[in-house]
Formats: sequence, structure tokens, C-alpha cells
Amino acid sequence: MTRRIFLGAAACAGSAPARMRELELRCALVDLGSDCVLRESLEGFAGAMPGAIKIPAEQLTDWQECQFYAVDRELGHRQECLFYVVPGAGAINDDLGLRLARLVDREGWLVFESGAGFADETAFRTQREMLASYFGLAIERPLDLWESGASIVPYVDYAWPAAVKIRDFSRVVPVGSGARPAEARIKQGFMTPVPPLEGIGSIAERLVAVRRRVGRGVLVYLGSPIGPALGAGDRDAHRWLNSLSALATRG
Amino acid sequence: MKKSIGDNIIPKDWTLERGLELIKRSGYDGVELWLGDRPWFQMNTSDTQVRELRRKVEDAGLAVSDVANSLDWDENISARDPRIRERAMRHVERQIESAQLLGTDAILLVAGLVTEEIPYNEVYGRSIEALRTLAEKAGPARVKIGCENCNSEHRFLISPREFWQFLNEVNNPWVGIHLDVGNIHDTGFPEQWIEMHGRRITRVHLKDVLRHRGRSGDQSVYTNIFLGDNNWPAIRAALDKAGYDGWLIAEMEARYRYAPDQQLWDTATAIDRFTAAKF
Repeated sequence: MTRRIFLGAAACAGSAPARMRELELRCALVDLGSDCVLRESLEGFAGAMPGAIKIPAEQLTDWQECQFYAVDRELGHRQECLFYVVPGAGAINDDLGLRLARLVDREGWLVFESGAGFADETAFRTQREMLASYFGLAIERPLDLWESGASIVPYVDYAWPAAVKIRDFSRVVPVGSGARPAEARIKQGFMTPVPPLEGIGSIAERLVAVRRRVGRGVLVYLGSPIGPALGAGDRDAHRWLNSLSALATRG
Repeated sequence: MKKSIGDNIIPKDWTLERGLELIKRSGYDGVELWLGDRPWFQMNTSDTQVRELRRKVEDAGLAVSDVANSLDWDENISARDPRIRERAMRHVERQIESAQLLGTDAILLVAGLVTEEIPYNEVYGRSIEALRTLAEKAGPARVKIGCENCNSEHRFLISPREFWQFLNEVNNPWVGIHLDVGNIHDTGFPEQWIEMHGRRITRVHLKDVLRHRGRSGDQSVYTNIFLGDNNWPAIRAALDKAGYDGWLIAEMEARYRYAPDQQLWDTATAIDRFTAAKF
């Protein structure tokens, strides 16, 4: 029995409200502090996931013990998280990248929302390196969709986990076709190979959202922030997130 | 999505039958009937005559997409004069009755008309009160009241959020928005209105707009679909996002000096292309 199935079964054993509470508790929002370059995105996710625990990035510690727990202050017990969201990411150092990779490797689902289109060049480079090193993901330079002044269709078309249209957030960080080997993963002793990317969202014929199974978990990369759309009450954005969190927390 | 066009596009010297035949032949599925505009559909048109009107529409192979009116600009539900308001209520009620007789489930009205004389706040309150009353008739008749966004023309409910709040205050599922994507011009972007109002949209009016022309006397800002500044691919995508699959109704101006029937053919072709999202 995998850890995810065990936790799911344990949650099912409780009453319905308790199960909902537990499922919510399995979600964590990682606050990058000053490296979260879109605070409104963080707030958007927080509003959409009221039960999620907000964890400062520096508290994602001790990856070898894999103790990424949220403390439920009401129930007084520790709950292991299964679903992590990193909203509006700017610079990501190697250490944090490694910890995120460990989370995913141990069955965690990670939504990594890039805010690099709103960060400086250095932040973009650290993010690009981290994603390439640990997830074999080749992101491209931020693209200003509206720069040319031409009217565009302003929606990212998502195909998974729900087929929805969510407004673009002007500056996107597309994913390139050439996935690099996840060098740092190999160096750090992650043995599992990195499977192919699956495109899940595109705009103007550019791939801006992908998923990839990594180890026993899943990385979901968002190159067009959806946190602001969540905050603005976009129903499709909420449907997308609900579908994803349901998949992530129920295995 | 089905396409329709107003009967007010029929050249004035044509009969209804000839007009309906052209509408059908040029590829439309339905017709929008304007109460008070053409001789065949006036306030004194009896129920029997309305049924006859329906028969003619159906004989032409068409359906009635909705019932609009051209009377709101002279007698509006927001007027100060109670007698004018009474007449306005009566013609909207007649629209509801006619919609039932014509086999359609939507009407269009201009909810509120702000003028230099009648200020916004008065118009707001009266319009809400009137719509709540009208909804009591519309609900049992199962006819949706679509308040058209006339934006700078009625100087009322200019932004999508304002319109949204207005409908919230009316608070009746039988009152929604008849969204005209050409009326928004320089006050916003139709795709954003579509997104925001979603399932509250009762019908959609199509026309294009020259945003930067502005109004100069009676010079129109409107033009044919694809000739103006609307972002049609974005509008098409927004309709998908909102799950709108209802009538698309062309509201064109009869600007063709020669061969006026050409307007219908050109517009039908443009709507087909819009529907197929081939840009």
C-alpha cells in the first residue's frame, strides 16, 4: 500500500466533514517571502484553498526525514501534506529546489507557478536552472503577450485536469520543447528517470503549462499565473484548481 | 449557435413575406421581431395577428429568436412621468405576451435611460423596481427579460461590474443581460462582459464598432462584423468559456445604398465564420 492510498483510506474512515478537513489539510501553500513576486497570486490561492496551510519556504526543512507536516491547531495533530502550491515564484535557490524535488519524489504533487515574467533576469535564471536541474524542464524567456499591441485571444486553454479557459496574465513563461536531463537529480541520487512532459495548457500556440510525473509524485508547471484569476473569482480557474486538488489529495 | 437578424433590416418598401424569404435564403435560422418598428408588429397588433405573424415566420422556415422593441427610447421604465412609465411597462408586458405567442423565451429591453434631466440615481432605483415587477409576469410566462447594454447610448450601467451589481439587486433569475458586443466600443471590451455575465446572458447581439471614431452628429460608430475593432477571436473564445450556445442576432445598420439585400448575405457569411472560429 502506498503512503497516498494509506492516507486516503485513513481519511475515508472518518466522518464526511472530518474527511474534508483532512483533505484540505493535506494542501500547503509555500510562501516564498520576497521571492514570491506576485503576492496577489498567493492571496488568490489562499482564498481558493481556505483549509490549506501556509508554509514559509524556509520551513520546508529536513528533506531526509521527509517531515513536511502541517500542524492542525484545532485538532492538535500533525498532518502530512500531499499537495503543494508555490505561487508567483521568482528566484529559487538550489537548496529550495532540492527540497521541492524531494517532496515530489515522495508522492507529493507540486504546482509550481512561475512569476518569472515579473521578476528580474537573475531570478529568471535561477528559476530556469532549478527547473532544469531537478525536473528536466526547459523554460523559455518570459514573453509579453500584449507587447505587440495586437489583440490576442486572452485565454490559456487547459486540457487537464479540467478543460477550461483561464485568462492569461500578460507575461507568460513558456516551456520549450527540449527537455534537458535532470542533472542535479542524478547528482543528488534520485535514481528514477524523468518521463516525458505532457502539455496541459497553451496560449497563442505556446505551451505554458505542463505536467510531469517525477519519482512517485507529479510536477504541474504553470507559466501563466492563475492565482490572480482565482482571486478575481474566475469560475474556470476554481474548477481547474478543485479538479487538481481532488486528484492530488485522493491519489 | 443559431443565427438571427432583426426584421428591422427588411427594406422599408418590402412586405414581411418577402423579407422573411430573404432572411431564410441568406442563411439565417431565425428572426428578431421588433415591437413598434414595422407595421406588422405594433402595440395594436392583436393576439390573432401575432399568431398569424408566427405562422408566416414558420412558413418561411424560420423561428422567432426573441422579441425586441423600438419603443424604450421614447417611453422608458425609468421615466419621471408616471404615465410614460406606465406605457413603458405596458409595452414590455406586451413583449412578454407576444414572446409566448411567438414561441420564444426571450425579450429585449433598454432598462433605464439617463438624460441631462433625469439623473442616474433616479433611473437606477426606478429601473430595479420596474424590473422586479416585470419579472413577476415574465417568470410564470417562462420568458427571460434581457436588459440590453446600450452603454454610452443610455449612459447607464457603463461597466460590466456595474451591470452585474444591478442584476444582483434585481435578484430574479428571469432578468438577465441581452449582450450587445458592438455597444461597448470605447467603454470596455466585450469579451470581458461575456466572461463576467456568463449564464446571465439571454441573447447576443452582433455588430462591429469603430472604437476611435466617436460620435459626431448622426455619424454611426457601428460597422459590419470584421470591419471594426472588436477582437472577434477573443469574443468567440469568451462565449465558449461562458458556455453560451444560444442565438447570435445580427443588429446591422442598413447602410447599403444599392442592393440592400447584400447586407444580409454578407452578415450571414461573417456569422458563419465567427461561429466556426475561422479567423
